[in-house]
Amino acid sequence: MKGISSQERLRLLYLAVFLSFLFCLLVVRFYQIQIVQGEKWRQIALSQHQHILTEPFMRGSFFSNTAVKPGHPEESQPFVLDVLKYHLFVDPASIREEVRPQLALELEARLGGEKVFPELQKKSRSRRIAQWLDQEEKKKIEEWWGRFCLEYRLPRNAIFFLPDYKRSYPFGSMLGSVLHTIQWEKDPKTHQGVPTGGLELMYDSFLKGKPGKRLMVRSPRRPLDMGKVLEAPENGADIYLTINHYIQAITESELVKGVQAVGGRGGWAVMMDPSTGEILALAQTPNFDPIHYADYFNDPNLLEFTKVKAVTECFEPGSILKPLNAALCLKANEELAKKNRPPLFLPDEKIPTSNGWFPGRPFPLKDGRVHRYLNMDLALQKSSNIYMASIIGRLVDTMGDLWYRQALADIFGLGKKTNVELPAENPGLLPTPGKLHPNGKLEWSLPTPYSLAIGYNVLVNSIQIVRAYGILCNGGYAIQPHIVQKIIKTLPDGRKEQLLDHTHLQKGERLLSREVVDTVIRGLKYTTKEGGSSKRADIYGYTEGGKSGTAEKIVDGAYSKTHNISSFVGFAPATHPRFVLLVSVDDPEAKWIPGIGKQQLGGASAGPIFREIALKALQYLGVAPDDPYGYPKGDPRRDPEKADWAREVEQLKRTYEEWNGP
Amino acid sequence: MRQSLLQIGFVFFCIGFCLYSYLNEQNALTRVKMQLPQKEKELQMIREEMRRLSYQVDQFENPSHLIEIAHRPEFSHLKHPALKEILTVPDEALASCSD
Repeated sequence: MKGISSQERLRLLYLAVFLSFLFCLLVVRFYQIQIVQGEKWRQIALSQHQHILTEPFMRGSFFSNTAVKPGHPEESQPFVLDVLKYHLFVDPASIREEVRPQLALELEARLGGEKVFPELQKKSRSRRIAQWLDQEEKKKIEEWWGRFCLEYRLPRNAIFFLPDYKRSYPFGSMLGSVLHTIQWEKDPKTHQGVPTGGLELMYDSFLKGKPGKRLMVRSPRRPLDMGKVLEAPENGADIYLTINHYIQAITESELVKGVQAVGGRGGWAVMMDPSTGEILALAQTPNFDPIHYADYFNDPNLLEFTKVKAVTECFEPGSILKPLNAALCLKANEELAKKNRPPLFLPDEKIPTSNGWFPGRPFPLKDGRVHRYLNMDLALQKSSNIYMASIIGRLVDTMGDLWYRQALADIFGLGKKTNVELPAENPGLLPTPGKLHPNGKLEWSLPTPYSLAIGYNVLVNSIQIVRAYGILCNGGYAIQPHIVQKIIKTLPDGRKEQLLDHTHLQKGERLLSREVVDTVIRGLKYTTKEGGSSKRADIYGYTEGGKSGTAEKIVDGAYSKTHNISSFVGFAPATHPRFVLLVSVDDPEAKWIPGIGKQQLGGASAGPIFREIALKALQYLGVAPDDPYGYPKGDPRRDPEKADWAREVEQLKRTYEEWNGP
Repeated sequence: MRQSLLQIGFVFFCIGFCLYSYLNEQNALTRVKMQLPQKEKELQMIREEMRRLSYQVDQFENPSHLIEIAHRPEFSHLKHPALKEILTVPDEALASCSD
């Protein structure tokens, strides 16, 4: 056998070196891909097999005030909450052309008419074909899909569900105009709901949450709803309102019935606790239904019902301003007494009321019927325009226009916002001496005080009225009407953080003395009794007080005799009132009711609504009847001798007859 | 010699048994850890289901609906009690009674 020659050895060496060199290149390339570019290729691989999905969060809820009965709190009750629903998506790119028609038919049959086929034709990896499906619907579709994708050999994740929270209203349209809602389509970038108005808009920054992140793996075998949560979603803060759901339901149902009964165009009601300023109910009819919000914003005729009329609608209050004027006159008496000057008037003083001529007025003021003489209690009972104008005339002659105007603004807040937590509050208008209207005429002229005396020439909103009467009912102290009691956020670790606390809001500074408010309250008790203008507001079994008002609406630039805003504002029980309640009816039908009188008057149209709401609310609140004999004729519990205020009413009647004849 | 072999065998047996137990335990732990995400998901689903049912109960217990059915003759005997008719017993008193 021959040995290997040196030339062949050299060739072998060269071959070995060359192969080694190739191997080294391989190692270097391996190092480059695996080590130097390793992170880059890992990211590419991850993005092909995994992606990050947004995990939905729950927007904050609104809760009812379930602690209205002292010492008897109930379980928390939401007005609105987010409920988990599912959106159905399809991945058209992973579905073969020939299967699409059959798939579309099957899905359309299950989704109740949603057009699916056009979506399957789109060049996309993700098309939404149904929204807001609930758990049962999702389960049925998944069961069907399990069989379908096997039969037609489609990837299991060709259709997939994404969870989302839908704003839901267990009580339907209750408190709709106050709460409002969020639009069906959320902001695609931030995943936040877009509020339509009301408290959803006012407190959007508290209600918003933060979406989380979930890691999803693309795999034909694994459905897309499994994955690891990388970042937990952060839910929005919950808002606890002062409004009680049961009292709200009472107010809404009685308001609807009452407004329909008098043929009104609409109406609203506000109930407030005078000692704390908590608004217990805020209703209006027609109401705003948040579930069908789009109908309201797309119809100009329905747009007005998206606003909270109690804050946006200003009206001339009419006679309901008279008790406030009486209170100011009594306050003026106290100020005069401090200066050792004689009082403007005395509540029991016999004041002539047959002459309705006042300085600057082109026409005389008139009462419902001619009264020769009245005192304060009689004037409130009969709602006398001439009496009120007389004492206000004395007020401005003694204290001046500016004092009167300041007192209305500073004590009762007329012309100023109440700062209740609702959007678009209209502060109304209180004329100012020396200021001009847009038409160039003076806001305040010679006859202005006499108009203000009877509640004209001033615009107020309902919250201002309720606040003003609240001051009379709580002993004369300032209060802040409010709707939000507290805001609480639940942190991801389960701890609760209080972001806002209004539970400490109680009475503020003293604005009127005890004597002044007691005197006015006493006068207001007569109005709902025999001889009063608001007998239909008498709450059977309970004591109450209040005042009706009928303001003529301005139609075609002039006051109308047939179009009114008729109101009644009252409180119950008369001593330590549990609430103040204002009911306003927009444009009740003008007609004569035998035995009652003109239906369009406040006492006849709004008074009965007040009575029904107040009676049911007092029963719900557990307030024991404090007038056990104050029932209507025919009721076996009635005793006209023992009923509350019976003797006082009889005495007042005798006084009236003595001064004016039977 | 035989005894030494037996001793060595026994030691190896013990080591092997301990190793086997350790690995068995680790496997059991891993099985439980693998189940955790599924359990979390199920817990979340149960919570959501509770929320949905609570919503349905609220819909039925809508106060407007309750006010409506309160007018029916079969419920006419039901009244809201006055606060003074309700006796409240503090939790502390209940706890002391049970002691």
